[in-house]
Amino acid sequence: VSAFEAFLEGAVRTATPLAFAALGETVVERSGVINIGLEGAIIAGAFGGFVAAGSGSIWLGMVGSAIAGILVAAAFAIITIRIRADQIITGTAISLICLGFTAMLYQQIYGATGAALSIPTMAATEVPLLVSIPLFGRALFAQPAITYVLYLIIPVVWWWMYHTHAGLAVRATGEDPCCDRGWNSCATYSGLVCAFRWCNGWNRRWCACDCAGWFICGGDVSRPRIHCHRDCRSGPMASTRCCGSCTDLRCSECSSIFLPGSRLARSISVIPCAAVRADIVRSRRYRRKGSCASESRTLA
Amino acid sequence: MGAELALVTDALVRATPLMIAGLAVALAFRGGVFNIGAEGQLLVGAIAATAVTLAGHSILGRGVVFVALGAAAVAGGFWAAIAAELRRRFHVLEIISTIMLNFIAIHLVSFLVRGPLQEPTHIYPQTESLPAVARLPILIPGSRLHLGFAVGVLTAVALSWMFRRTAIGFRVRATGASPLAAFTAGRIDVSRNSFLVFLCSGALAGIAGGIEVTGVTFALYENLSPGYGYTAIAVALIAGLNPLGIIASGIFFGALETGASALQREFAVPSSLASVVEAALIIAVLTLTAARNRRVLERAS
Repeated sequence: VSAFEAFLEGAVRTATPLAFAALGETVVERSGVINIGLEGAIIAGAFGGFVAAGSGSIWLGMVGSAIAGILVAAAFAIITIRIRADQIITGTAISLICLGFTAMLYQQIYGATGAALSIPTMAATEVPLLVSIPLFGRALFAQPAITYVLYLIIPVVWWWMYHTHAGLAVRATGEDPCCDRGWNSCATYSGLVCAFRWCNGWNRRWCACDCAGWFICGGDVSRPRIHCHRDCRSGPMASTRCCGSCTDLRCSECSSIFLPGSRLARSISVIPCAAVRADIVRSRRYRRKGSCASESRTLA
Repeated sequence: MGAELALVTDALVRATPLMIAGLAVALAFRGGVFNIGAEGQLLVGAIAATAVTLAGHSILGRGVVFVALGAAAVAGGFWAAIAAELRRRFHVLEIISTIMLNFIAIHLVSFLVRGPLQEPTHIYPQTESLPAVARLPILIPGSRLHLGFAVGVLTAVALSWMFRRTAIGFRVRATGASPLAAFTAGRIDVSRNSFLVFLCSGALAGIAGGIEVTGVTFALYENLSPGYGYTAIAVALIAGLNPLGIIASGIFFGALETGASALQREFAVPSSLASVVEAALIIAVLTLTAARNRRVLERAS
């Protein structure tokens, strides 16, 4: 193994937790939430993983870190979405509380000894054949199993974000059209709901190693459905394909997006309904024409 | 009596950088700029103050302290200017850019104390100690309380006066409260105003760093700031972004942190408890503010 190959291998290994965290952050950012508390979720996940893996099982550690990440993200979500406190400041507070709390718990559980404790770690698993590719083989295919999980989950997130109606709804809520700021927090909420829903499925198998958690399990508020006007009105799958083919809301096929479950949603007074969705789409067009754009330029 | 005096003055010493950086954060937040980079600006200010002092103390003598603090302000302002210019020209979110600049500043300190600014024997990763002439005068003999605390209090009073009584202060508040309204109704140059607010905020945070070096540590080293810049956000928020309130909240946080280390020494309570308490306070204040805002909105509609 040449030095350069070892370097590449190390780079990919180090990138794995970063990529997991970044993946989580990508979804929240696309839904209109800036989660500065990611640092807190990571450190809590690391601690949770360490405690759970103390039993000797690596995968139990993964589950433990996911649970810790979910708890932190749930706290963040409740404070920013339900109470509607400022996202940035909440995020820094979450980071601070996690840093302090994990340090405190560590001292309580393991004592303040100088020696670092250790737990079993994941050994590298080599993928047969692929590992013998020159130069990149070892870097990409002689990694811990969790890296392969990352390889799998990246295309899944991409597919979900661009080819399902839930993904489109998340992106729609994440757009921040300059003209209807008032709707922003409402839109954010429904975006997160989608993110939660999405993770419900994935989460049970596993979701975050020491990565960002950004979802609450449950929270089944409404099922967003996207309707397209041209020729695909028959069922959700058809509309998904139609809307999934456009990369953002600017395409004319997606002229209205609405939430049929909005009555339920409104009863808990959070989610706006069809009008908002139409507004978002309309204001995007409006912005494209320039009047809003010039306004936002002077503002910024 | 002596021990109690030492405890009180230590809390005030600890409160000084929190207070000044808190004022920097409050100024920025009031002006609608989310400057999360007080930490980085503080460190850069500390670097500049140390470098200037070490280079110029033999020539300038006693006056070097003022020059050093000036340099700290300029450096902090420059560090903020990077993010401000990115925001003005390319609409880069200042939250992200200032956080990134924090990391750059932290590693810049690491590099400097191991490289160009390392003490002459090249053993410890820190700079040479500042000479006695370059240190801030002590306010109460026998304690560590230095002039920086008075600077902090005076800055708070000045800022409070500026916000309430001057046109500049009004423009800053208007810009922060509603940029669109400030632009249309007040003919305020929003972009220029936020740029300047950003710069001044950075300069204040830089001064906090300069004061920390010339008043407390007397040398530059890694971990010079145990997260002053981040705690400063809490300090500013607890005070409701009110400069006079920041004097109180700064002292409160200073006492909390010195108290936590004393607790750890005496009773083995983990000192990280302090940051948990701080964060819990921030969240409590945020929750209350959000609830109040919502009530106001509901009443309006």
